[in-house]
Amino acid sequence: MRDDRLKYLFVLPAVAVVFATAVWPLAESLRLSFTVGRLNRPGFPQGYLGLENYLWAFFEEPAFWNSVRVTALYTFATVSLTTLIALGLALLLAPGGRLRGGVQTLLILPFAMSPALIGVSFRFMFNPEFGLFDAFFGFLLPPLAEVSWLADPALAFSVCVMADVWGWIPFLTLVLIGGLAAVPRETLEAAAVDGASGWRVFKDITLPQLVPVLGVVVILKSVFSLKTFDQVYMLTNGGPGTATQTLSHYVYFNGLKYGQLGYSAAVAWLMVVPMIALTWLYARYVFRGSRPDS
Amino acid sequence: MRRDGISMSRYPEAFARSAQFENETLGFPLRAHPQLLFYRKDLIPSPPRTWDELVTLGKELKQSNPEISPLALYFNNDGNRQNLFIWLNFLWAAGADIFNPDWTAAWTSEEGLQATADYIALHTVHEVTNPNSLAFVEQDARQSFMQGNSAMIPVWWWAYSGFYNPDTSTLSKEQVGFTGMPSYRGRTKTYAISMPFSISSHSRNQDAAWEFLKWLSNPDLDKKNAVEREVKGEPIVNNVVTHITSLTDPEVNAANDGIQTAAWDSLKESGIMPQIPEWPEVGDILSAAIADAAAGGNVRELMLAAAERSDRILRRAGRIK
Amino acid sequence: MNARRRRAILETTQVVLILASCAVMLVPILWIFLAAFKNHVDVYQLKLAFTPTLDNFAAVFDSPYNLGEKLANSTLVALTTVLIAIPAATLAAYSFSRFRLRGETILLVMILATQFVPAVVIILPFFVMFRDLGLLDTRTGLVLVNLALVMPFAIWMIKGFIDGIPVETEEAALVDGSTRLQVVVRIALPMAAPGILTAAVFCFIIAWNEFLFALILTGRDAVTLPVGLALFKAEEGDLWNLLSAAGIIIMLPMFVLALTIRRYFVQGMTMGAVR
Repeated sequence: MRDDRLKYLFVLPAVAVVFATAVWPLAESLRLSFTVGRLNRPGFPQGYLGLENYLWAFFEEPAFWNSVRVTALYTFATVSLTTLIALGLALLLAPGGRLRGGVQTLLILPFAMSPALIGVSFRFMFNPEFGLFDAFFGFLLPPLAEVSWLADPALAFSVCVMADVWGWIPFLTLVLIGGLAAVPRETLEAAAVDGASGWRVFKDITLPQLVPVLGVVVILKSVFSLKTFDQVYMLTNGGPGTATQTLSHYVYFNGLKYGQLGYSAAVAWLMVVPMIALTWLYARYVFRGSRPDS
Repeated sequence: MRRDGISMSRYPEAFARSAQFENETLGFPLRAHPQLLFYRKDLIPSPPRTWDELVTLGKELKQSNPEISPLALYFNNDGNRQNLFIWLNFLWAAGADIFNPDWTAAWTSEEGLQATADYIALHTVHEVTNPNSLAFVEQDARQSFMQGNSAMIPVWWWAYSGFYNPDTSTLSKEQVGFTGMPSYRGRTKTYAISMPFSISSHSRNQDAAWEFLKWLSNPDLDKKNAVEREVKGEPIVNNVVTHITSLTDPEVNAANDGIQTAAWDSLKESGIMPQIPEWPEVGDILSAAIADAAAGGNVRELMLAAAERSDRILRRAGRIK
Repeated sequence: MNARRRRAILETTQVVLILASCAVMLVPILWIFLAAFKNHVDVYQLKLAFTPTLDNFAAVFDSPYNLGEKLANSTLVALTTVLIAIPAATLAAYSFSRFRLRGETILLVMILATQFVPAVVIILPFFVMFRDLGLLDTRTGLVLVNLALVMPFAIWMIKGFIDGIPVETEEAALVDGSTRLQVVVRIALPMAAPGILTAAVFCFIIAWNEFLFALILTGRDAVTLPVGLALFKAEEGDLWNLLSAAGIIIMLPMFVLALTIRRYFVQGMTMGAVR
């Protein structure tokens, strides 16, 4: 068979799967977001409502805005903390050698751990009566000894952030180590010979070289933070109150627990909007340089 | 059901109602639970009969036994609305309710708000609760009791056997006592829960399922399960029965330290949660409000805000005309 | 001398920092490992000295938890997902890497974008569809939705690997009269094998750890391991010793898998997820 037919045949199965499993549900969700869509009543999706679901979210549901706020804060906190710590760790580990190489390998472990399990394990660790971290922080800072971490809105939120950061640092660190490897050694050595301080070398040479990788890392982490569900579900289940209810959790509860599928589809689509912006940014990074003509 | 001569009146009313939806019986309450107050016999010679007594006793206990918290409660809203269980005792005893007949929020009546405030005050004002009660769900509270960190716990009756099981608990049977739930303003009304078993309308074999269900739910088996202490050589302890005949059966009571009698008492005045499709959503809103209130929020404001949201949701759902 | 001392101090500080971060990384995992071997009463205390027991592992595989069924579900679902996704993704990746297709950029960006879409958006219509088709609580249903997660990722990752393989060998073979299919099978696939294997392992891990879809779509028969964790939040409370034992069963195979491809790991990440 000629290449110009074959090349389309090759992509067909994969593209068909992507269409069926991702593009179709996306479109169908959009359609459902304009319907009553109550799962616990006959005649699903019970007719069209126009924009009512969206208006309900915007003007009648303080819980929606609460989730927006939680998700935004969560994304900001996890992205900045994870990136900063991962950058530090990457700089520490990049030189290689037995110890550093060994630690790089160890980093793979948290990465391979299921986020749901991370949630469970952090709930365990912060149990007020027999949690290890709870006891540890209480020992380190005695005022914290009497604190019930998961009962306090701000502290529960910070535990969620900790669990997320813990789970994502390894991945970002490994990617950044990959990025650091691309920084030319000669430039670094020349700068060192010239007597530049470590900080100057980092600021003037390493960092600019890392910017593209950092950009990608930040976008990618933002996407995953915006979607967060698993850990939060297992760790706090949105509580106490609604202090840790992320948008995904809000959609899950409204759609599947309360049976308001139409409404939850509308909120889910509101989540898609920032994703489109991030995809656009990301695509610019990915295609930059590699395909000047496209 | 009528054909086989089975009447739902063989169950306590709250159990029967929980297996019904819009006045139609949908299944049998095979496992169902009333609330009881468990306490440490070795620390508390006579258990409190009212919540006021419980507060007084709790304060004394804090003086005499500072290493143990008087009361394990569970204010966390972990998705199962467990922090409403004890709240309902207060609410109902005060003569208030969750919904008015037209499905508008009823917990905003003065009695309702006062009852809620008194329930929260156990933790925030009287401080007779375990300080971790905010973080606790029911399971954690039970754990706290079993680990000897709390001296009293209001919880389901089935927890009894676990409380003195050496595999799960640090307590011995002699240390664990139980009594009816304390009264509030001279009245006790408890919350009861049941797990109805029913036949799916999609079932391919309705008749066989019915025969099985009949066997599974027959009063003799109910009784046998609570008397037998060994199944195929495995030791087993169960005090959960659902039939009135079993609850009042002397043999069952003798095998379970009379817990069924206490349970039957608890069930005489008891209610269940509302059974409308929108309840999970409204219940979660209430549960979050209770959690926030226990964390130090303004009870009145939180409950009024919850009522406003509940009314809006039920109006949107067409429940409130 | 002074410079050398400063160097030594710097290196010591670094080693201390590295070891500290190691501890932070490993302690939660180790704590689970410890708890899995404790008996019920010990778990609820902060004890390091205890008599280890294997009872928890026996208990989780026993009724009523029957973790074996969940293990089988997880394995079957993840394996089937990978076996469908990887061949299709490899072909597509090869084509995207070696040819110019009409609408190629749009297609690639679209594939990338689907990876960014929140899973809750995808699952809502599937829930309705599966409910109507009777596919709720089936492994087939789970495989289908898992493909949505895995496919875009696999295409991009394998494409990254193939992009890194020089085309000259293939061109030479074509000039010598080989057909395109022969070139793909005999030259491209063997050279891209480590990359394809890495992608397969990644996808297996993703499907294995997947939680939201399984939580929503399964109830009893098709429950996977991560969702099965909820079993241990039972009437009796959080059974931390059993949770931990189940946790080990979830994470240990993934650790082993991930470590077998560690040589390609960073490369794979930078290519598939990040490029």
